[in-house]
Amino acid sequence: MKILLYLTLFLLLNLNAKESKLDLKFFGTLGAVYNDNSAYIFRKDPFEKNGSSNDLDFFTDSILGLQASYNFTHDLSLITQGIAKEDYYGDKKASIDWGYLKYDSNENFIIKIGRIRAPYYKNSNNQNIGYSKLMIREPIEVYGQFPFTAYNGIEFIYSNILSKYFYTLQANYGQAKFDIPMYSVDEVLKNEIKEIKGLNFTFGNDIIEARATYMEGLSTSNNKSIDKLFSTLSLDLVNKYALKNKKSQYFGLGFFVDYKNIIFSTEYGKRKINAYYANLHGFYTTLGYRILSFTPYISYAKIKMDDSTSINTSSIYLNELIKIQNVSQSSNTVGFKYHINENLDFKIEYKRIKPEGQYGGFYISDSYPNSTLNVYSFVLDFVF
Amino acid sequence: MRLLTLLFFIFMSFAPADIVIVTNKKSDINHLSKDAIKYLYLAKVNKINNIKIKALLSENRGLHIRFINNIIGKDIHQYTSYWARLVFTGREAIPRRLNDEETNEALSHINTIIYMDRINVKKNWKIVYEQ
Repeated sequence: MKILLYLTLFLLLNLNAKESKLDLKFFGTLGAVYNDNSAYIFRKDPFEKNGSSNDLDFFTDSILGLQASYNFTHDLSLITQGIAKEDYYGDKKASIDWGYLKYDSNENFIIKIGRIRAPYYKNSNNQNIGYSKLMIREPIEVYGQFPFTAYNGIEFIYSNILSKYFYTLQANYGQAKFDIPMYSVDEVLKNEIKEIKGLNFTFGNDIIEARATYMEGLSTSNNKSIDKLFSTLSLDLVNKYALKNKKSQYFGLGFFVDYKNIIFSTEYGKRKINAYYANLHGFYTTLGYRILSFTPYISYAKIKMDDSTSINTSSIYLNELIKIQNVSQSSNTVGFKYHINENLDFKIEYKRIKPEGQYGGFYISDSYPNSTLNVYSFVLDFVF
Repeated sequence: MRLLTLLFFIFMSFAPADIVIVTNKKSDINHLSKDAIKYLYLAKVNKINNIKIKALLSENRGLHIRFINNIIGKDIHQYTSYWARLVFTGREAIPRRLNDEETNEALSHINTIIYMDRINVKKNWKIVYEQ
């Protein structure tokens, strides 16, 4: 991470360099969100502490960003993106989201080395760029399945045309380290994923696009309380539920149509980790219709656990740890995007979320009453 | 009859001219399909039939919108959102829009293409796509 900070400083100090070599772009979202259910805290990222709980929150979707790119030669460039937003703990902080050296052969293949966004989903790379997306936020039922967005490593992209269709093959290799806060015990879960290997295939034309993704890695989580719990369990339970060097997999499919005024997108994702961090799958389907500068849309999303989160072992602490992994929920969304001009858009959205099962849903709650959340959101997105 | 002729010329003067895609006469490209043009301008590929092609944009906003609507087959808002995605994911740098003088200079390089109204095509350029 330090290297990326130095690289960003290098880019900024080169502001006087030739105009053609340095390119700075700005993006952001100013938003407000209101969740009418005081039993839950609605957040954009499931690991954030703050959000809306029967109040208006201005930081859930708000973000400011800067993208800097420096062209060393025609083929070689350095690109990095910094963002400022409320972090997991509720502090407003600036950080480097990703940054890499890019070699573009100009012969349909690209190589990136550095900190790279993991290409699980269609909008993996542009989740922070509200202007480039139809909805205010991507459905958490698919986009929230894995708790990290970027890895350190290498990516290879090859694109070409086959008859009347284009295809892109993306291969990834690397590793990731990230922390997840555990607010209830005031601790941190330290995670490491080694040997991340990914393959993504996209195929289509200018109207229809389909994609398939597979990623795997070796996951390890370390936390004082959880490690202490596992030290008291039988070997069978440890082998079954401990998250130490376990193979974790993600399989995703997507299908997208952009035909005349119609925009359709659907994605399916399945997470498989044989540990307490349970297996699950989810999908969403979104339909939009463009009317001049307005694009109204509707969306439905659902996520289900593949393993039961209600277990009955000799350890009540393990039973509880498994129970809280349940994120089952469904949501209906209706909203519209208004395209103001080439730099600005405005969106309004209503989302109805229904948590399912004991401790169900992505959102923090004291009582988990399984009651519906009505979430109203407004954003202004910009790019310059 | 005179009135009809006058109306015809008035109509023609306001009717948008045909858009063509041109390149330098010495370029290796002789013809591009509509799909190939779409994929080049949507940055899906930058090489067609083993020829590296540089696709340029015009500063003329009216022409640009007609090109995006009629050849690329997209709404201008759709196109700008699409490019925002490419630019802000580090995938592609958006090409700068060129004025007439810059277009002349750019087209002095081979295998470089740009869209323009047919009436503006010069002798040392060749048309590789027409509607």
